[in-house]
Order: sequence, then structure tokens, then C-alpha cells
Amino acid sequence: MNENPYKPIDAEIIDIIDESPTIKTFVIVPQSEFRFATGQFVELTLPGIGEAPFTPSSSPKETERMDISIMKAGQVTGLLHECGKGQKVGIRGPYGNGYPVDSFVGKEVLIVGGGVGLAPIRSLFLTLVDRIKDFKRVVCRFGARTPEDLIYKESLFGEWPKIDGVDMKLTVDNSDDGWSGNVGVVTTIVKSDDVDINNSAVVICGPPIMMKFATMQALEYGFRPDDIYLSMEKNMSCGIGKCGHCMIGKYYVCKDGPVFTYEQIRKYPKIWD
Amino acid sequence: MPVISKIQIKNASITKTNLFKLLDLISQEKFLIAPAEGPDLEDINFLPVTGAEQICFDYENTLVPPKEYFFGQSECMFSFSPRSNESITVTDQSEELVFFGVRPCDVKAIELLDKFYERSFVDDYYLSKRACSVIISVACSQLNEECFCTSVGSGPVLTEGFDIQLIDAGNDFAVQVGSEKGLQLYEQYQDFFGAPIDVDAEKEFEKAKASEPGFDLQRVYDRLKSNKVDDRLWADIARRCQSCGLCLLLCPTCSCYTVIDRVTPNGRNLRMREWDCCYFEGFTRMAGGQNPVKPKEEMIKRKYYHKLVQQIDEFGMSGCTGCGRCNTVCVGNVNWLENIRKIEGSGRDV
Repeated sequence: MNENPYKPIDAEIIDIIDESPTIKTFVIVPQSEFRFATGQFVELTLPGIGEAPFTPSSSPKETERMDISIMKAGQVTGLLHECGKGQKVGIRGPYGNGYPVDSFVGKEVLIVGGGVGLAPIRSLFLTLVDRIKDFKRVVCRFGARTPEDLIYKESLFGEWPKIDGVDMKLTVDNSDDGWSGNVGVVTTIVKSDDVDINNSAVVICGPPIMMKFATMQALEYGFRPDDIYLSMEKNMSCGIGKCGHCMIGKYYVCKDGPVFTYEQIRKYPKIWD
Repeated sequence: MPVISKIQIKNASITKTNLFKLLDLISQEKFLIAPAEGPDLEDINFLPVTGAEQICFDYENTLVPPKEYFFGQSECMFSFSPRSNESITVTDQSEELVFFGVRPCDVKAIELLDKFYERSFVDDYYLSKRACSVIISVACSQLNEECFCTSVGSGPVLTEGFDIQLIDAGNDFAVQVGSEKGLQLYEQYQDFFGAPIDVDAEKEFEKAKASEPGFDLQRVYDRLKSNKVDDRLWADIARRCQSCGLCLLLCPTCSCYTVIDRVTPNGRNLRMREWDCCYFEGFTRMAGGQNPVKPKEEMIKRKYYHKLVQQIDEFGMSGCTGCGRCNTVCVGNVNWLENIRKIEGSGRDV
């Protein structure tokens, strides 16, 4: 970590991958070694424009480069989408707690993801499969609005489902002609017998409405509230528990999260909005 | 290192004539910040003074709290060139600032901010400015119309947490020195001070409490924490609040900000932090338009919860120090004190 927590270090965008009409993955190389734990987030600076929080989508094992998948949504992300290779950026962090991967050991891990929510999940997935023998199974249930909106297509339809110990199903809300898979929101492919509910953890990341229904479904299936892990990304600005933008009740999402169990935050109103 | 190292309180006194002379000397030798009338406005604020005659001694409290000297409204943290992030940190202020006339509620507010900025991550921008400041506070001898320090344990006289505290005793002030920094200042100007005199701080407190339309903080805390407040109260506040943010900007304990970039005409990028308010609609709105703190009732509730529950839990002191500024400036006539009293009474027949 930098001496001054607000100061970014130099980094360069060395590659840009189009993932969907609104999402690109930026491959960046920080000037000096930058380590993070899966699920932690960083603040990415576009010099003179500002900074915004993102969770890297690459494996923490890769310390030379980092992938950050970004949906075009606001000012910083909009301008990032116009950048080309060679663009200088800044990066500071990592911040927050990340996924408690060690506590998943010996369990089945059910990952429910939607849309750009697959970005942090990719990092988690790569971390899990790297030591896949430590977990009973990794069960993925991913969705997007349309087939076009599914990101990481190459991996989703290529190597990931073939990995031993991985069970993967995909769905889209609306199909086009070329889609032969399931049609429906992601909860339609999560079944009560997908995993052993008494010995598993559920990780949910996606748009708020999807997280709400996936959580309700998990509770209905009998998962305990403290086995449900939610990525509660908010409007993090300082990243260090000071500026106040990301508070949920007593928690600063940037410092106490962004990963919370449902048990931790269930009593706060409007967590899904 | 904590910004205040408490010591066992040392008592002394100073005559009002000597105090004037002392402040005059300090204003020549150091940077003195004291209540004064601005050049264009009649409002009393903490301003740099270069002579004791510029100081306003007859004031209730300043319009703007002293926090801006430690946590600037708009502060450049560092600048960097457009081509890289190689940055230059803006030089921290390192010259000693002496404050005179800070009221106990504002001293308490600074104590809260100290705790907030000292807990991880440690914020050097704030703490470096605090480290080179020393505060001579003046206890209140009467309660003003809108304030309620006795209900939140921050006045009218402090029992600890000050550098130097003056308590009015007619022709003299009783002087209490409560920290290392205060002691240094006291020793440097020792000749101005006299032998201790008696003041009955407890009597002052009881007198003030009797005249104050106070509330029981514990009860307010319990009501808010157990979510037992009548929803109609939040709806009423939400209807009247214009989201102008004035109550928060003038709050001595509010510390929210946003981190943004500004570009100078010669193309350097400035990484700024600027005051922000949780009553602004965009405060929690994310890129893409999602806003987790909606409707407005939730926004309102969040402020009351933060100051009267969360900060008590985290720092062991109220996030409201009872200065009453927010009550006097609200354009929608939202009265924080009145609402706290309604929260206290909710659940009863009122």
C-alpha cells in the first residue's frame, strides 16, 4: 500500500477486450507490483477525469498485470471506453475484505452471477479452480440479459465448464436465434438440489434486483443467512472508510465490505435498492 | 501519535485586561484565529487576526465551525501531470495556529473528528493540521436559544479534552490547562497568568441544564436503534427538507467529502477532496443511476442514525455536539432539536 492512501501508482492499459456492447475488459500493467485478494476492489484513475471503484476480474496470482472489466455507465467509465492501448491510468488500493476463500474449504461453492457481476466472480472463480481439490465442487449459475450481454464468452463456452469439479449452467433473460440454452432470469437455473445446502456457501454478485431474488431463493432453499455472501458495491469514493458515500447502517462498504454475509446486513432497510 | 496528549489539569487565572494583551502578543508572534467580523459581512466567524482589537469577545458562537481549518471545504491533496500520475503532494501546513474562542461544543466536535481521522485509515491531511494547532476554548456562561450541549454531554464547560479552557469569572477568567500543547503555550506566556481562582463548573452546568429544552440521549439512541420512530416524522422532515445541505456544511462534526479531479488552466490535474452532503441526491447515486438511499426519508433517517447511534457506538460520543447551527440555518424550518425530541417521545402518546 502507498504511504499516502489517496495516491495512485502509474499503470498502463496494454490491451482492451470487447466483452459485450457495454462492457470491455482492460488489461492494465501497474508500474510496480500490485497485490490484491479476490473480491477486493481498486480505485482506477483516468488522469484529469477522476477515479472510480472496480473489482479486478483476474486471478490475484497474476501480479504483473490485472484485468478490470468495466461497464460503460458514467463519466469515468464512459471515457475509459474511449481509451486505446497505451493509455496511462492510475491505480490505488486494494481496499476492502474480499471473499473469504479459506472458509469455503471442504464445501461446495455455489456462485450466482449476472451481467457485469461476473467481473468479480471471474476473479473468484479463477482463485477457486486454482485449488479446486480444496472444495467439494464449484457450481456456477450465470446469466445475462441476452447472449450478446454474456461476458467472458470464450471461457464460458470453452474451458471453464470442462474443469473437473466445476458444474456450470448459463441462462439469458431474452434469447435470439442462435441461443439453444435456458431462457429466463438466473434464479430459474438455481435448483434446491444443486448443492448440499448444509455444507456449502453461496456467492451472489450482479444487479441489485438479481441479488435480491437470488438471496430470497437461497433463503427459501434453506441456506443459512451467514452462508450467503453478497458483493454490496456502492458509490465508494475514498476507499478508506472516510468519505461516507458507501455507508450501509454501521458499515462502510469500502472498509468493512464489499463482501458481506446476508446475516450482517439483513436488518438494514433498502439494501437491494 | 494522538493529536491531544492529556495532562492532569493545571489551574490558573487571567485578568480580562491581561487576556487582551496576551492575545495581542500572540497575534503578533504566531498565527491567531479568533472570532471576528468579516470585512463584508456582519457574521462572526473564525478569522485570522493581527491584533486583539479585531477580536469579537461578545459572541454566542461563530456561524461557521472551526473544522474548515483542519478539513478544508475544497482541498487539493496532490497534483499530477496529464501524462502520468507522478504526483506532487501539496505541502502540508506546518506553522502553528493558535485558536481563541472556540466553544466547548466545537472542541468536542474536533475531538470526534480527531477520533474519526485517527482510526484506520489514518488521515494525514487532517492530522498534520491538527498537530500544529492549539486551542484556547472559552466555556459558555449562558445557553443560547438554539443550543443544547448539556443533553449531549459537550458543555457548557468541558471537563477534559481541551488544550486551554477559560471560564468567565467576572473580571477574570479561570484558566484550565488540559494538554501538553496547552501547557507549552501556557509556559511560553506564563507571565500573563495569575494564581488559580475558584469557579463552580458543576453549578454552571446545572444552571444551564435547567434552562435547556433538553432530551435524554440514551432514550433517543434506543428509539433510533430499535427503529421505533414513527414513520410520519421522517415523511414530514423529507417533505420540508430542500436538500440544500446547509445543516451538514455548517455541522461541526460532518466530515463527508468526495474525491474529484480538477484541471488547472496550464493542464495540471488536481486531485481534490471537497465537502459533500448526504442530503444531496447524488451522494449515494452510482454510475448508471442506481441509488441505494432512496426515497428521501431513508436519506433523512440515515443522518439521525449516523450521528445519534453509529457514532456513539463507534466513538463513545455523540455525533451531535448540540451547537444548534443546523436549527438556525434551515430554509425549510426543519428543526433538528425539535425532531430529536419527537424521536425521544415516539412510542409514547405525544
